Amino acid sequence: MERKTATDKKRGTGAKTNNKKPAGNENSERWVEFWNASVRKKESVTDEEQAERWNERADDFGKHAGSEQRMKRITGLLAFLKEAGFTPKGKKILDIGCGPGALSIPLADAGAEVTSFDIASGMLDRIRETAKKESLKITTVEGSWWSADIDKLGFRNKFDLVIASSTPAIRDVETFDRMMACSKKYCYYNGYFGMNRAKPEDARKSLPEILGIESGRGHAFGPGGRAHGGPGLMFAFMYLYTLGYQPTIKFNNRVRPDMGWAEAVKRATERFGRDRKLTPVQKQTIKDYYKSAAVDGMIRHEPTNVSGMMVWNVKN
Amino acid sequence: MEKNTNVKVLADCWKASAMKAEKDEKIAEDRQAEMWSKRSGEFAKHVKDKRGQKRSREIIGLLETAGFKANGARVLDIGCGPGTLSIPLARMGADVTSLDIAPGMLEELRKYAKEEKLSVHPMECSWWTADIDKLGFRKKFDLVLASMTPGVKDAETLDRMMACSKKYCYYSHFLGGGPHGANPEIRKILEGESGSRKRRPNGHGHGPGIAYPFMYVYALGYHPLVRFSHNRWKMEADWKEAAERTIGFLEHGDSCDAAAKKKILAYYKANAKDGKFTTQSEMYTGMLVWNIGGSEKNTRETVK
Repeated sequence: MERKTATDKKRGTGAKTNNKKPAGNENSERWVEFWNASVRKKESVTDEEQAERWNERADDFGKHAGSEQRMKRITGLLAFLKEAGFTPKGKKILDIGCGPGALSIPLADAGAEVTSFDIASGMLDRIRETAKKESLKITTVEGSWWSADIDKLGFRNKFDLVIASSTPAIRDVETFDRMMACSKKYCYYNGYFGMNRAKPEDARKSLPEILGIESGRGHAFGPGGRAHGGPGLMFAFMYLYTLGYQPTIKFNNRVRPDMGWAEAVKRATERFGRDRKLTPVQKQTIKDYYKSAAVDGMIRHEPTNVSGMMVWNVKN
Repeated sequence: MEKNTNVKVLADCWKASAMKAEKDEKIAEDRQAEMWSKRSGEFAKHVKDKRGQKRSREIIGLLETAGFKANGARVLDIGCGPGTLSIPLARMGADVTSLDIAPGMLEELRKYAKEEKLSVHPMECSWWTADIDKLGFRKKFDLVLASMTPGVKDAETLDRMMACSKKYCYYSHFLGGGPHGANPEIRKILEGESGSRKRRPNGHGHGPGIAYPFMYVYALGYHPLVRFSHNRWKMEADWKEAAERTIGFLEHGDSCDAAAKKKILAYYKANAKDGKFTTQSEMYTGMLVWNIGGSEKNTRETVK
């Protein structure tokens, strides 16, 4: 049976910075082969395009989440990490694709020394602002994880915990190995897993369909998957399993909060208006869409997206 | 680990994904029987050909690594086909109950079993609706197999499979949905470049592949022995036979009209050499073995 393929070879020479990869075996190599075969075209989005895209969203990214929801999320994360044996106080943490700091800030607040890494300077500006205001130990580093040289950055084997939470920074085996190489103990990965409910036959068309707008297509997000696409988490999990790790894993339904229909209209108009100028007719369509869907004036979102979080000890 | 929540969420995800596949592929129980019976001749060849035998040796080797011994064991083979695993296991001394939805497959199996006087009991049965208590299957088998079968399609049918075993379970499936490159050029001819890409993630009625069943078993607390394989092979056949086979695949998904058939036949004829057409295929598969009997849930070898 042929094991060495072109992708294997590319992997071997492509990442000089990664000379200490986890020791693989025949089985993990086969999984890697499958993973590589499943990853969508890497070259389709450049570092610059990524940076630009995320910078555009930096001002309000993550602001929509209610504070209660955010608290619940961070409490859940801390409990999950604790279960695996990790407490943040006095620990060095690397947060890859940190965004505006949804995890970096509360972890620093809990006493950790956090290095927040992101491709978008706008996101890092927001973190620095908060860190200064609240005197938190946060260092920001701007860069693309896809091409990061962890030796130059001084990241190799330096952190007690490395985090990659719902970020396109980890998109394949190479970027996943690079993440692990920075940790001397724990890694945490959070990614999309699947839908917990099939769309019913009589489900009404989605808003982008009605508006005739292409939405979210072709955006590589996480290993092998696109945004809300395939079971991206699975690639990373199975890779770890074949390497001999048994990650602790927990699945979460992503619940979107109920809101008044007028609020839903405002948000959708903003969201769809980001990349295009909406016509008055389209704006009216959005308004009608939510108005007719509201029950007692409220829009309720059924939980459908499921994400998984996993934690493992790289030295085990 | 919050085991029960995890198990519930996974069962939902798997079901939603299978429902989507079913809708996409329009597979219904009655059509399954017909379709698989039609393919029984082609499948039966694999029981004795080199590739088929190599494959079953690989699987039996994995079962033995997990501690299974065939001699004297009672085995249930769900979606047995023409007996790709039932026959070699019976040869090794196992008593095999072989279920399939397709009478054509069971016919082939009977032939082999009779020829060699093997202890094989063929039974026509759909696993989707099987009543294991009426069948007297509950906790009756040393090994239950579900090899590359659409019979086990969600948490319910996997639970049912596990309920029949007192020790080992074996499950295998494609990774990520189906054979890669099974005549992608045909799709290009029929649907254009974009069409071929759109079709790729789902195979032919095989649903989401191994991701959900594996995660489900892991969430239940088992650590299965896992093997992946990646096979490429070339198959040379009479061009007309090869074209009919492709048409059969497409008909299974309800996407082959008279015009498309004509196009396909023309393509195979034009690309044949001395009347023979060579099909190149490639597939990734995953195999899982776990032991539900022992107190030790860790089936796999410890890797350092």
